Amino acid sequence: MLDLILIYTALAFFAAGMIYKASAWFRFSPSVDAAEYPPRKRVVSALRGIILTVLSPKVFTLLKVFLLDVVLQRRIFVRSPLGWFVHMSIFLGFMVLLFMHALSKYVASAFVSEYYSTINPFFFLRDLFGVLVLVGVVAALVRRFTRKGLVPGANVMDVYALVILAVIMLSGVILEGAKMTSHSVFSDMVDEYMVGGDDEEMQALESYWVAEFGLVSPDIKAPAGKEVLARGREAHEMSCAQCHASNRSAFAGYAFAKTAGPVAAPALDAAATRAALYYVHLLACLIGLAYLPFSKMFHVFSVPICLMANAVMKKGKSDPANMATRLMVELDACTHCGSCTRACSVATVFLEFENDNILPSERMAVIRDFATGKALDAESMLILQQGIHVCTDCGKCAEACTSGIDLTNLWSEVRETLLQRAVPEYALLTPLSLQRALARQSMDEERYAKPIEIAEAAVLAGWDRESLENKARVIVLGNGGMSDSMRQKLKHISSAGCYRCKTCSNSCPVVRNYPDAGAMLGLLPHQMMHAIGLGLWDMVFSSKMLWNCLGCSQCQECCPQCIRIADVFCELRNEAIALAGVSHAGDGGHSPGKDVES
Amino acid sequence: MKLAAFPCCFTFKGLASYEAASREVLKALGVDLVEEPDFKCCGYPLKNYRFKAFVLSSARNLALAHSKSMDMVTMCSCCYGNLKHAEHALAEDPAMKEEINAALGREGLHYRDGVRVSHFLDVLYESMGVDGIAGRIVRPLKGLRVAVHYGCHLLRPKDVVQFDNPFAPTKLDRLVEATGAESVSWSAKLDCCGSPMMGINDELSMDLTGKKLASARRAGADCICVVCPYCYQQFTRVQDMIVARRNPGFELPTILFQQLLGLALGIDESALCIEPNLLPAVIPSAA
Repeated sequence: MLDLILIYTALAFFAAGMIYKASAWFRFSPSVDAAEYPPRKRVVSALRGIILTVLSPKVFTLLKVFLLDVVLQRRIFVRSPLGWFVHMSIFLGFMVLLFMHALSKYVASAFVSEYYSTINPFFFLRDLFGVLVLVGVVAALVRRFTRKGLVPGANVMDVYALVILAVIMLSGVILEGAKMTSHSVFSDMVDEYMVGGDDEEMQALESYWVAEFGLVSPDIKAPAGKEVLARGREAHEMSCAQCHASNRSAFAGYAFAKTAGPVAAPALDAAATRAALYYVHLLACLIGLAYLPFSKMFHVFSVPICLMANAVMKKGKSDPANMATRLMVELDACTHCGSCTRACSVATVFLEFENDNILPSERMAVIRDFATGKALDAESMLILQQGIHVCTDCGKCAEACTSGIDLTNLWSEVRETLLQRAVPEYALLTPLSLQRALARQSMDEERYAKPIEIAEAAVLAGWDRESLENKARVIVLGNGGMSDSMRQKLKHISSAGCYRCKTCSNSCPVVRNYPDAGAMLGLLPHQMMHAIGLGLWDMVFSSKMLWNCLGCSQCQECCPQCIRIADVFCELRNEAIALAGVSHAGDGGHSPGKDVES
Repeated sequence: MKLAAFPCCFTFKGLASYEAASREVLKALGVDLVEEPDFKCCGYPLKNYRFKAFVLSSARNLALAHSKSMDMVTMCSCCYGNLKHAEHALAEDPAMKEEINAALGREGLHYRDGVRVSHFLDVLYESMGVDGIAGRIVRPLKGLRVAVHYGCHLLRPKDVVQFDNPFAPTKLDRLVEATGAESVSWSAKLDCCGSPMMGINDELSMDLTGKKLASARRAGADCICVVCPYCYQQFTRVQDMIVARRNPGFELPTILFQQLLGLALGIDESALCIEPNLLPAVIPSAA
């Protein structure tokens, strides 16, 4: 009765959790257009999409993906055969135990007319698959904690998932072993199943079980003789063997019985111990079930859906409402396996920015929090915004993702949504914004242009004379970037170098592009050099020229004084971005992970 | 010494034709490059944002190549110029080099100079020679007038990249001419393609690209030939944008040098990922 109450309670939690989690797929989206697709519309679109797909030839694509990617887990195998073995051990072991052992009443019995857990092959298989899961769990933990390079180790959720599996398997094996050693369990079985037999025969049977099956008997201390064992074996075959295979076939439980039996038999024999072990096992299973929707284990539902949806959906072709929904499924399908970070082209610069949101695997959970409207503080939002913008859109993460998430698309959607907050994003002033520009035809013109204006205004603003002294100090100290070389170059320009011949400005293709270059760009390159020499930082940093410089080095190549003009411009941009971070720190606009004033 | 191909981030997903064409040409010429799956971004896009992050990115690749006793060959001119630039900056600033090495230590790497970074044009030019290439041409591109575009980071700053004369480069022209085509003289030849401004000031970017296209057309070029993926993107996708938004009244076909050479070497155009509508512009007889 108690068991039933527990089981139904866990099931109720599980069902409620699943509904809650799945509803989030329709209630939220990190898509910049999410507001256009209210939940009702998205549910209808999803149902329509599923029905139309299932009724089309695409159903074969779905079947293929289900078989290769969901069941056989091809994407994991391609990334790492060892990782595949580890994951498959857990997946296969757990699934077999779920249907053969946990749901034996409904599943195993439906296929096998005379299903008994204590006869072979089931008795053996239960231990085999339990051990398989344990091997997988241990290997996964070892892999997580011995990772090299930049890929972060396990987080709390990863450890929880592995620990709950380990507790389920270990408690099962220990409970099984405890029963094997238990004299009272043996006596109960004898009472129930022994056909006839006198005391002598019972004694022989018990001796046989002590010698062969790990039973610990208070009555039998000395090893029995051959003759007694032969008689015990006869009795066993007559009364027990039909429904109870040798305990040795359940090798894990047997190993425990033989190891712990001699020292802990009285404790294991106590009914309370076995009841406790039973409830540890049952409760671990039920906690795992009830908490599943909120744990990493939810991926057993979200990943197959993600893999299959992404096999038949395409941006630009599929219903945009479904694309918005898909982003949410994708966020739930991340298993924090680290494949994306391992493949990431820019992961290295995490070492310089010290912003872990640069690592794709580490920003997925933050994006999910952002998407579902959890209150993130300004600092977390900035870390996310910077992290997701330090990305070359090379697409290697998406290629590597074992859950088949279209990460490149996810990043660009989330970036646009974040940019709507109008917090300056300085990466837009670098070639990191190239992919955004190449995709601009799919974007509203205003929505495209605004964030660039905001970023440019942020780096150009705030150069009033009052704060100049402070800022000039930062520049001259060069705390923003490459300090020593910066100082040397600035000195070079002001003391020995530039004699304002204008060759730089005349060679500049940007200057040549405008008939009224001064009005368009502010200071021209030779004027910039002059202003630097005079220390007129407000003029230097408020000049648009700085942000319209291509870095093509024409000026530098042509300079008769060999001043590294393009390099100086590059350094000034570095300084400007670092300084804009300080200027906007108060209104939540500084670039995180960098303390310029320290 | 093994030669490792250094991949550009930009081509992995966005420009698969670039990688395919490069591979085909190198295979046909018998240049043996090894793949190093752990190479990452050269850091170019971060240069104006966090210079040290850019140097770190390049240094990591150079350190990795050093640890595996490899020399590096880039296809992309930006990767080439920026790896060189990072080497230069590391040699100039020992304090930064120390900091970079402290960071690289976390990945078990250490930067030392000594890895030779070359552009694949140099591999063709130096090791095979123009005559060597010319000797392998089976389908001479006679009559084709090509506007050769080098790309900034291949030429400038000369003291850093040391590829060719930055004011009068000839290497790519001579390689193009080895295919039987003619390299035309055009005034905007050495100017930037405009790509660095795309995403920052798109109008300026399109102005610069448009001027180059007009200059090449005035010089009577049949097509523009480029080596760098950024430039290629600029003369193709951004040119499409210019045509759609500004209607300049003409379009100029753009071909990768890898594709041009591949055609002349007799490689099948589909293996070079040459779009069918480009072919008649390059090979008049194919029309």
